[in-house]
Amino acid sequence: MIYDICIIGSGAGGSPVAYELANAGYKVVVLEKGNYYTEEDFSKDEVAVCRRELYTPPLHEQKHIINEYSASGKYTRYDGEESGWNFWNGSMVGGSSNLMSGYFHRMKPNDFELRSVYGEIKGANVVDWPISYEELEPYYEKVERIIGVSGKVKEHTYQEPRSTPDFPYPALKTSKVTKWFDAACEELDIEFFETPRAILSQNALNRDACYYSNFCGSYGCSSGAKGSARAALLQKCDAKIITDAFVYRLEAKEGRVTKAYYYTKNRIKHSINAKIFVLAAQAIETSRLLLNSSSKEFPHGLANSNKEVGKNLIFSAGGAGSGRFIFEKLTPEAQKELMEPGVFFNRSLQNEYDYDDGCRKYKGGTIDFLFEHQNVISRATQEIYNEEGNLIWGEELQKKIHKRLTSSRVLTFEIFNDWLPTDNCNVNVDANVKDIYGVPVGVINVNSHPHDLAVGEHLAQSAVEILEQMGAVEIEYSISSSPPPNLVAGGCRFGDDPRSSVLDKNCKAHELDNLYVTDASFMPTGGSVPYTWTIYANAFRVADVIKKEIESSFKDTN
Amino acid sequence: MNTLHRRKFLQLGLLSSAIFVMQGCELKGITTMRSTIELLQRDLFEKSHTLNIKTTHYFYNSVLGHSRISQEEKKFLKNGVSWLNEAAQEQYKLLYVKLPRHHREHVLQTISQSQWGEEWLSKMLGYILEATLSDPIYLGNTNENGWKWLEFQGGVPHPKEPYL
Ligand SMILES: Cc1cc2nc3c(=O)[nH]c(=O)nc-3n(C[C@H](O)[C@H](O)[C@H](O)COP(=O)(O)OP(=O)(O)OC[C@H]3O[C@@H](n4cnc5c(N)ncnc54)[C@H](O)[C@@H]3O)c2cc1C
Ligand code: SF4
Repeated sequence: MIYDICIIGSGAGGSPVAYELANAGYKVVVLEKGNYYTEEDFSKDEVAVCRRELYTPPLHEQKHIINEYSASGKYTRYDGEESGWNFWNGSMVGGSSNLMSGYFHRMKPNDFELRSVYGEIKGANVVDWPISYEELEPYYEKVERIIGVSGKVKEHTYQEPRSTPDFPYPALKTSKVTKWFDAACEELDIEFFETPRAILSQNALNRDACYYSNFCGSYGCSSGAKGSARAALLQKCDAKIITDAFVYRLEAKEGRVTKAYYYTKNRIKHSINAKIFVLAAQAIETSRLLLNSSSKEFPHGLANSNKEVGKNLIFSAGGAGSGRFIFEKLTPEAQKELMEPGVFFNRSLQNEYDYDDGCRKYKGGTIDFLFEHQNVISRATQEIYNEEGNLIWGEELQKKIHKRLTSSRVLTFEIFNDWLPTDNCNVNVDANVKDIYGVPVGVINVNSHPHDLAVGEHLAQSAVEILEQMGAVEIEYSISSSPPPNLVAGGCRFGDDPRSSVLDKNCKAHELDNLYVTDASFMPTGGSVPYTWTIYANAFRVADVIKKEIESSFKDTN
Repeated sequence: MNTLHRRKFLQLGLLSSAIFVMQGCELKGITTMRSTIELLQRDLFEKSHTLNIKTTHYFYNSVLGHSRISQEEKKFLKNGVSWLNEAAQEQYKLLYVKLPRHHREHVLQTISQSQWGEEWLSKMLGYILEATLSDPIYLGNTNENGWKWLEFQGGVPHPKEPYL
């Protein structure tokens, strides 16, 4: 059988294409290496989900090699299995979008022209995108409707242009502590807004509303409210989904991909024939698969004659911080407000999406505020050291845990700024290190540009001021050059010049007629926001391109 | 403890094993891993015991028996029990379970100053807290007593089966 479309990877990048093409009547198959979990299977089991990594492969079976570069250009090599450094996010139908928290921000118009607007930064491979915000805007809007985004638009300096006045779903319920936050921002004259979330605040789209389960990020959603690729798209179309299908090689002949080969867990080999192939295995694995698909015709791997595959890998730069609110400083009423479970915080800043240091304009970023994750084992375990850094146990530890968890609560913030693309941040494969299937593992070369840290540091100051104004104690933050494994993009840049990019502006490989890449690999720069809204929007855009392409080829053959 | 060396010890079987504490070629005592762990867990976090949390059962079933905890980690956890007894021997010439409370506390203080001791104790504490605060399906957190102690409402839905 020959499918019209074969999609590799069932997450946020692959599923919009499956949804659009299957609903348009085409024969679509999705190859997914993980299992199929649905609403009925998910639970709030902290041990399984957060401490035993239920949704990701064991590192002794599948791992990465990580080379961490220092500023001097030297690197330290880490074996993922030995070091426990884990870059897997969610191997399951719907991918890591099942586990996301759904903090959703669009990129801004300037993000599409980073180089032109903010100029060159030495040591960084910054380029403009080959498409504009205006071209993507209709698809951002489509994501709001189809995935389901809740929120309330509030005008602020960096509010991006919108084709509709507001979100299709009203804002989610928030904690009363947001009143303290809003008052602090007003006092400090800092612009803020309610964080849009890819979560349904009411029953809609044949999915149930959020029931404020208190355990959102890292957990699957049992109501279907979270806008995962599975709940919002794959369960709403009849694309054929093959699970336990680890695609290890794409075969290409005469400029066209002809077959995807996959292994099951029992290492049985299978192959799928299709007219069009769409690769969306998440940024690192997408590059790895292309590099592992070399042949006589493509000796450096598929789509890689210019040796650009894997280059310019990016993550979300920034860091995180927190402040603690303690009962001693609060009225009984405020204490009650503080401890209310379930409801969200949902406050964000983009007041310095760009900023001027007196010499030039710099790109800034986004800060999301959220309560500390409610995982109780993890919160208790954090308390096993005293202020001097010594391990404690017995009565002292018991008292400390009880006091901290029952009479205080932590508000955290996460900073997102651009991770500048550099020469030493990329994906490769290691022919000598193989996974359980016998396939060369991905090598992740990690390097962060010093400018990223400076921006993060600059942004953190507003968050600290707000927490101080709110009366928090133990305020701290850390700006880090460590890559967040769940916020990854790049490796197969799109661009107009086939010499310096892997994909054309429609995310089709320059050197293959029928291979598209629709996860975040296409992004030359990532904006100063988490990526998923943009991944979804772009994948819907490419789905339209593929639909047109396939319609015209059908017309030609009929 | 700086002078504490990781002496050779023999271990029979895996889970309910006897631990032969040796100094050089001399057998200094025999104890079971389970009895040492039971007492150690009470010394580290008595609260779990008063809440009727089955920390030792959890440790055997959901830690040593877990498919996603590496063999290396399990070996370290088990070796630690022997090293603890060796430290007790070295300081007080008795097995850990034979020591009075204040001597046991002193042994814990001493080993917590060594690299292995700190790492081992922090892992043991982590697993006690897991037992106390995990979903009751893991048979540690009896009657949700751990959650009630911290005024914590567990997440819903609960798991239908433990992930082992
Ligand atoms: C805990 C967590 C919280 C997050 N929170 C947010 C947030 O608040 N906001 C936000 O914007 N983003 C968030 N994200 C990130 C978001 O989930 C990702 O950006 C998004 O899912 C990426 O889409 P993708 O298609 O590239 O990858 P995925 O959604 O991960 O899908 C890739 C799929 O490909 C499969 N696959 C990989 N290799 C192969 C192969 N060789 N053969 C077959 N199948 C393969 C994988 O198993 C996976 O199912 C979060 C992620 C996590 C894990
Ligand atoms: S019910 Fe709401 S809070 Fe819970 S996982 Fe779903 S979207 Fe997140």
